[in-house]
Amino acid sequence: MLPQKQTCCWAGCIWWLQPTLRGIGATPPLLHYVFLLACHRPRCLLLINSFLTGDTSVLAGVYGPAEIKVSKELHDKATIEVILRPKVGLPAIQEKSQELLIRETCESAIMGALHPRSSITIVLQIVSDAGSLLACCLNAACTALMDAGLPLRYLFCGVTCVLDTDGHLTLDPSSKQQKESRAVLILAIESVENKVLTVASRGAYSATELQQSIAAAQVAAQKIFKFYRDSARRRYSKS
Amino acid sequence: MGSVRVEEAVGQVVLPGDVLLIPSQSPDAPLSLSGAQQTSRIKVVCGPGLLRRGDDLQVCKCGLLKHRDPAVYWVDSQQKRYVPVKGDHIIGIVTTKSGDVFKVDIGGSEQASLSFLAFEGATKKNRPNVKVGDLVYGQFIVANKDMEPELVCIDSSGKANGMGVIGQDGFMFKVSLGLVRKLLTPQNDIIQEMMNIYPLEIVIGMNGRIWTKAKTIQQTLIVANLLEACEYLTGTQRKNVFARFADNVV
Repeated sequence: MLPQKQTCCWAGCIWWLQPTLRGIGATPPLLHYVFLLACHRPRCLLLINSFLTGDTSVLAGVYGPAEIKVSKELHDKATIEVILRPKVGLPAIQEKSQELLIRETCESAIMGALHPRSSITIVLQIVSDAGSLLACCLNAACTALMDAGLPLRYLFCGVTCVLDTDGHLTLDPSSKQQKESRAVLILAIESVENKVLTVASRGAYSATELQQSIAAAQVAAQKIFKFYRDSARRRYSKS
Repeated sequence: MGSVRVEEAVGQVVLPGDVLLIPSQSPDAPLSLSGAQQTSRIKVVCGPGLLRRGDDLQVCKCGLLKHRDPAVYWVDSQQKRYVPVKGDHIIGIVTTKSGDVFKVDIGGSEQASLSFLAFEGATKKNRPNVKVGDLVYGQFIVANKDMEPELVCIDSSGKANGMGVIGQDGFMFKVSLGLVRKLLTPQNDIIQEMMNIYPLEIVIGMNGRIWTKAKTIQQTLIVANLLEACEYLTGTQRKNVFARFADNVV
């Protein structure tokens, strides 16, 4: 059963960086690894202008398995590194803690044992933040990992739930909703058994509310996984 | 998708975490409780991107599921990072010379080593003429995740067989691994069509590097751009583009 007054408006878009067409009608991805942009809310599909006007978007790049410094190498698995770049300025403590959370989530999904003594670097550049940023980072990281062809146990996605003072639950909130809320929960859900991988939260909530949020996030996750599949189909439709 | 029968998923996009069910050989066969364990499943070979999970297969890479008779399955993905595989022919760049071995950049997570004796006709006295920065076309004889990859430029009978240092001029560029595999499939005629436009020399490495040389620098660049573009062109689009260039030949 779904909690009432739920608004699930997650939708995403992949924005392939299209370089000037080199001669022939082809659109090769410009960068070393394809950079994916997972962005929230359906209004902004493929319109660069509109997602600059306020919706959350994150640019993600994956480099790996690549060479690594001896001091950082692990003999039995790949070293996973996440770099989260804020829109302006240098990464501060908040970014570092979010990096850690994303890294732990990615680490559970990546089969690191298949590439020992190598590094996998995930770079996330915040393009714009209009709420649900961490969830968007998780989605961007997962799509980028998927596209880079790294071995994964499962896919994962992030869903943000907010609880307001009346106990109403909202999924994928805007920054305003997030600020006015009583509690914010960011849940990472995996695709195989639909279980929770990560929970990050702020504020006070009861055990029932946590359960409700998880249930809502699991439903929302199905939509995100469907979107992953659709975008992968689009990606491979030409080969 | 969750779990589907493996033959239904062939040609479809599969995502990590998908489970592919292997059909039983004969569903009516009686269950035996004694003696050697009887597996009624069809034997399959799982290639890149697939793992065994009990009796079934689990996908661990995003891509298209491919099948070859009798029962070989693998995931074909458009990745760009190369992971060394024993027996692959690749184009490497010599980065350092240290004593008896060269270090070669192969585009993977580690540099490969190449012994100076692993060239045709090379002896301790007669060293091959290889300089830092040279391109070499070689084959992996050691490639696994726990060891440093090792290249050779001779086959098992000591002949170069096309391998060795690639000449001074020409042009090397990188494409996705998917395109390289596409170009190297025997039923693919991209290279043949290209040869009809311009006479050219080409070396294709499984690590996504292609070296090519045509009569003039201009032609070489055209060939390189055409090959890069092939990744995103369908067969008919490609024929149209190639026809345009074929007319321009003076």
